[in-house]
Amino acid sequence: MKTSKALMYTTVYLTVTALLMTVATGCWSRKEIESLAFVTAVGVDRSPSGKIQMTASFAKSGALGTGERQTSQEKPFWVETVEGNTMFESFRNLSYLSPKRPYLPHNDIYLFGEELLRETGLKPFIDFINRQPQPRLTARMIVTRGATARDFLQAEFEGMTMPSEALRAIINNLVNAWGTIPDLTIREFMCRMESEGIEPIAMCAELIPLEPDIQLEGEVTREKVKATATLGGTAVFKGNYLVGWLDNFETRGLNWILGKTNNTVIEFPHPGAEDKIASVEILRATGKFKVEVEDDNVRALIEVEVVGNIGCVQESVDFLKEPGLWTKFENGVKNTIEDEIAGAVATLQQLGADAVGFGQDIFRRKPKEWARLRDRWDEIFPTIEADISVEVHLRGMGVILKSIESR
Amino acid sequence: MRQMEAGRISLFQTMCMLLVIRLTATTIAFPFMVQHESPSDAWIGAAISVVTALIVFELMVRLSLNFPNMTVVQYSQTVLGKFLGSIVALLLILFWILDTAVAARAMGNALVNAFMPETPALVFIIMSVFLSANAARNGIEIIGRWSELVSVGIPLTTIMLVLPFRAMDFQNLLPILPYGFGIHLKRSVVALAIFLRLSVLGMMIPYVHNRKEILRYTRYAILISGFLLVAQAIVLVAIFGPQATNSAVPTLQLVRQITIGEFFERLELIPVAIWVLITVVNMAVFVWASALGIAQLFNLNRFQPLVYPIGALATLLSILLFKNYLEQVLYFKYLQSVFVPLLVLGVYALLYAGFALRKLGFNRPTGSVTPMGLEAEADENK
Repeated sequence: MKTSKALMYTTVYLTVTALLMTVATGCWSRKEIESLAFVTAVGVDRSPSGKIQMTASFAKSGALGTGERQTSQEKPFWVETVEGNTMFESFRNLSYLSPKRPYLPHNDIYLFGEELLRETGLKPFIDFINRQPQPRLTARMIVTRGATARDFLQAEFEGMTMPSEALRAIINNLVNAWGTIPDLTIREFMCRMESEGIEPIAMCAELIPLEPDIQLEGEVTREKVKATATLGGTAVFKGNYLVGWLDNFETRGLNWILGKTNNTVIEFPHPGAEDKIASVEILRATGKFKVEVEDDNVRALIEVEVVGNIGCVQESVDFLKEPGLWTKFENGVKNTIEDEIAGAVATLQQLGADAVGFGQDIFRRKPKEWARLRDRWDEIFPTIEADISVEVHLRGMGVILKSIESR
Repeated sequence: MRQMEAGRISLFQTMCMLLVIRLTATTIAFPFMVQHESPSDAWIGAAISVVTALIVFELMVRLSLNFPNMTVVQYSQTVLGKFLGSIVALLLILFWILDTAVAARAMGNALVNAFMPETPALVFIIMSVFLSANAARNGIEIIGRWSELVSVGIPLTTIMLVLPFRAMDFQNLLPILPYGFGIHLKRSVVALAIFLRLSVLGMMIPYVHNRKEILRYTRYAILISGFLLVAQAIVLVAIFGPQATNSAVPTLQLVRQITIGEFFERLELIPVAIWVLITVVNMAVFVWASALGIAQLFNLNRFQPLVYPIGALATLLSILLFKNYLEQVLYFKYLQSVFVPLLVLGVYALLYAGFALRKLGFNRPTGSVTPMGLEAEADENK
């Protein structure tokens, strides 16, 4: 009697466990890697009929060569364009064209057409990226200036076959060697969007159409490269809408203030010779700002400190003979940086978009003042005076002591 | 009378269990941060709740230590009398069963929201509750050892909070107190409501091996889990700014921000493993406590047969409690922060009042109660 009862318990126990194990293998919502199409870039435009036009660039895994020798000359990506009313519908609509299920988690780049953001604003699109579990907030957001995102995704880059990888590489180059692009992810964009007293910014990209009869040397069986793209500059938003642009140097001005410029090159008029230019490589930079409020008078104190080396000069200089030139070089750099910062602030004031975060600084340090100024910030921001102080330390001059002289 | 639960747990195991119970809410839904009115200095509210919890549990544990060999269900009857005591004990038991259901649903919903939208949450709930009930059936010792293993989730959670350091901007933590202090006092109750889940300690104390030290280890558990709570409130705001109040699965969002050297990323598996493991241990403790509590309340011989029915009840409840995710969030934000403190603190206030009255000499209790100070516990040194 007792054994049979124990046997029954064991049987029941084993059955239940076995049943549960079948569920535990996770076959329910499984997604096999062969059945997925990895989206590497998403572009969003407005279609001629007023709907959303979504363009996705998929990785073609078979054509992605590894190692030195490319296995095939096939394009390693393909591009599909669909329409829809919402981002979600559009993304699902990709299934009409793609035999594999579009899979978003590996997407690094969201491109938005200029026209769309100026007229519709960003809200209807960013919700999808924020709400759905698939998209990643570490992705970058790029606004295509003067072109649609669709055209942009057709662009190709020499040297890197995947456009999304190439775009990311260019972004990295610019961040590390120029500082002429705002380095921020979608998460930071949304953070700016929701924060008090700061406006969002995004990267800017432009399309370069190539000559149709471009000569491509060598064995090229794939389609010719029709267009390529360049990045640099800032798309400035006001709230939900795109309002304008900062060019490369204004962007760098903004990055000086935010302390986000690292290595970059600065050119300025040669202090020792007329009509000649000298350039300096900046190695490190720190930047900070403080906002002072006195009734309705708002002043911004911007402090930047940079360290650099002499990069190259168009007219020879001999610092050993004229040590005074060193200070003049430092002043040249100083003036250029000051001009860039002033330019950035002036353009932002013209656009009426506080992308630096002067308002945010007031909110953070003097929340009571901010409560008073908040509603009138749009009027106050353009009147802010910026006190810019730049400190330049030139350290080295390369591996020579003086330039070559011609006899 | 033979002992229903013969297991003994160490102090460290007790601490691990408490930590795990407190951490389920922090790592899964983090209701503390939901729709916070003043995210930048939210950690203040968290810190307040830690202090309050320290005080509350200081009192709770001291009360329990007056009856070193009794669970809260047993001594509530000696303190408040048969009738009122039973009602009070039943309330606590029902709260534990409800919280099992809530924990199960929170985990199931998090998995469904973040990873497997097509899978019904019920699948995850049944699996994990079954597992918990099995553990509970084997007694507190098993759960204790298990919690030691699972508490690996605590250092892991800490690491997860540190790794996204590149995305953090501590300027987001300013301003401090822009909207005043009242908000934080109100908010601290939300976190305190979750701290009060640790009231299950009242069931565990008689089975702790070296009971004198339990007060110290309870404090450790509250401080460690409180530290993680505050740290998470800070890290979330540092990374997401105002968006920190807006996430259904904050730890997951946080882990997704980890990118180190462009290859060390996509670590979502770790928080998910932590979620499931700690929820299962959490539920095991609750199922064990409520089964044992019911058995003691109704003078049953064994509590084991109650384990599966309670598990089934919790499973059903977990599905019936919330129609959708919105209801769950609203429960965490409004309902739980009102009724849990009312219930648990009310029950303990009653117990304390009864205990104080008895100590003053009104109506000397019959039976084995020796209401004395902490030093009273003499036996049970094994």
